[in-house]
Amino acid sequence: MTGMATLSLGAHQQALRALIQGDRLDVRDPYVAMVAGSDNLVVVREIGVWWKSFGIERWCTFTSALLRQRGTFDATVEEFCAQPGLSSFFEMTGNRFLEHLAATADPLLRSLAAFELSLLRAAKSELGADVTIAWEYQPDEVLRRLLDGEPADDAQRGAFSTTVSEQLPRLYQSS
Amino acid sequence: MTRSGRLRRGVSLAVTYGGGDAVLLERVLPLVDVVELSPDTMLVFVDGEPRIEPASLAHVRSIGDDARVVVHGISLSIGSAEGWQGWYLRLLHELFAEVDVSWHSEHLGYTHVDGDDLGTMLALPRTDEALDLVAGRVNELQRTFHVPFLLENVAGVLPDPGGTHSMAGFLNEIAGSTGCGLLLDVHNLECDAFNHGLDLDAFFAELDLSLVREVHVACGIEHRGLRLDVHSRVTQPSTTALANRVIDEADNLEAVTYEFLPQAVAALGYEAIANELAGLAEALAA
Repeated sequence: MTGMATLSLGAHQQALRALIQGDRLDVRDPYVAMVAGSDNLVVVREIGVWWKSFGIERWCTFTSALLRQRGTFDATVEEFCAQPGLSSFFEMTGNRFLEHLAATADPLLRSLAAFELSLLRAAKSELGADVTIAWEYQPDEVLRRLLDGEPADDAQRGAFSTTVSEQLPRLYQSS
Repeated sequence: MTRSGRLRRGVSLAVTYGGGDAVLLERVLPLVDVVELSPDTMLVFVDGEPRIEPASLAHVRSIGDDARVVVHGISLSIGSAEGWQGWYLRLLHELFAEVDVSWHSEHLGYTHVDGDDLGTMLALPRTDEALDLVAGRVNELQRTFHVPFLLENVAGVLPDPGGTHSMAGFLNEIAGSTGCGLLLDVHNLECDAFNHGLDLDAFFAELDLSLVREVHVACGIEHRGLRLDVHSRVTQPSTTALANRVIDEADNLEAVTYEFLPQAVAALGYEAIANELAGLAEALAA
C-alpha cells in the first residue's frame, strides 16, 4: 500500500482531468505532479483519441473514407479531439466532427461532410427543412468511388448540387 | 466437459458480443454457454436521449434461446465523485424489461469528471472515501435492479494512485460490505503487474476468491512500454494459467469470458475467434 492519494476524491479526479485535457494546473500534490511528468499521461491522451477515432470512423463512414484515402484521417481526428467537451457518444461526436469539416476550406471535404451530416439527420427524421449542398465534384461519382475504394479526388469537376430531404425515397438527389 | 460451453467445476465458457454481427454470433453460440452484452454498443439516440436500439433488443432476445445472457457495461462511471452516468441506468431498465439476464457488471473506475468524458477508464485511489462512494452506489444498483451485480478490476494506465487499501483489500471490502460479486479480469491483473509491479501471488493470497463469479480473459498490446487492455488479440498462456488458478480456487465462479472489442473482429477474423473459444474450452476443461 503506497498511500499516495492525498487529495479528496473530487479534487484528485479534477486534477487528472485537467492534466489529460492539457489545462493549466497548479500542481502541488505529489501524485498529480508524478502523473504530469509521466509517459503514462501521454498514453492516456492517445487512448482518448483512439476511442474517438473508432467512433468517428464508425459514424462518419464517407468522410472518414475520404480522409483515409488522403492519408489524413489520423491527423484530422487528432486535431479535432484537441477541443474540450467532446461527448463519449460517437453519434454526437461524429456529428460535431462533420460540422467541423463542413466549414473547412477544402471543397470536396466540405461538401462531403455537409452531405453526410444532412443524410444522417434525414435518416433519423431529424433534418427538418430540405438542405441543398453545393459541390465542385460530381457527388454520385464521389460516393461511388468511395464505396469502390477509388480515389474520390479524381471525380469529375464542375458545378453540382445535392438536395437532402426526408421526403425523397433515397433521402437525397443530385443534379 | 459435457458440452462445448461447459468447463470443469461447472464453470461456463462465455464470450463478449457487441451486437450487429449475425455471422459472428452464429459462429460463437455453439461454443459457449453464456453471451456477455454491452448496452453501450447497442444504443441509439432517440429525441436526443440514448436508448437501446430496437433491432438490437430483438436480436438480444433471440440469443436467450441458446445461451444465458449477462450484461457488462462501460459507461456507468461508478467512481466519478460528482455522480455517475444516470442515462446508463435507463438503458439497463430497458434491457432488463425485455431480456432475462443472469447478472450484470461494471468497472471499478471512472470515465467522466464533472460530466466531461476523459476518453478512457481510470482506476480509483483506494481510499475510504472512494470505497464508501462506490459501496453506496453498488447498494443502490442492487436495490433498483434485483439482478446480481459484479464489479470488475480495471487496469491502471496512469501510475498507481495508491491509498490506504491494497488492490485485493479494496475489492474485498466493497464486495464484502455490499454483497456484490467480483468480475476478475486476469489480463488486467497482468497489465498491473507489468506496469505497476502488482505482486500477483500476494494479490491472490489476499483476495477473497469466494466473491468471484466471473473471470475475463483477453489480450491487448504494448505501447510506449505499457501493457494496455485493449482486448484486441487472442489470449496468452499466462492469462489462461491465471484463469485456471481461479477456476480451481473460486468456489462460486460461474463463467470465464473471452473478451474482445467489436472493433477487433475484422482484424481477428471469425475463424480465429472460434478457434480461440475452442482452445480456451480445451485449456480450461481439464
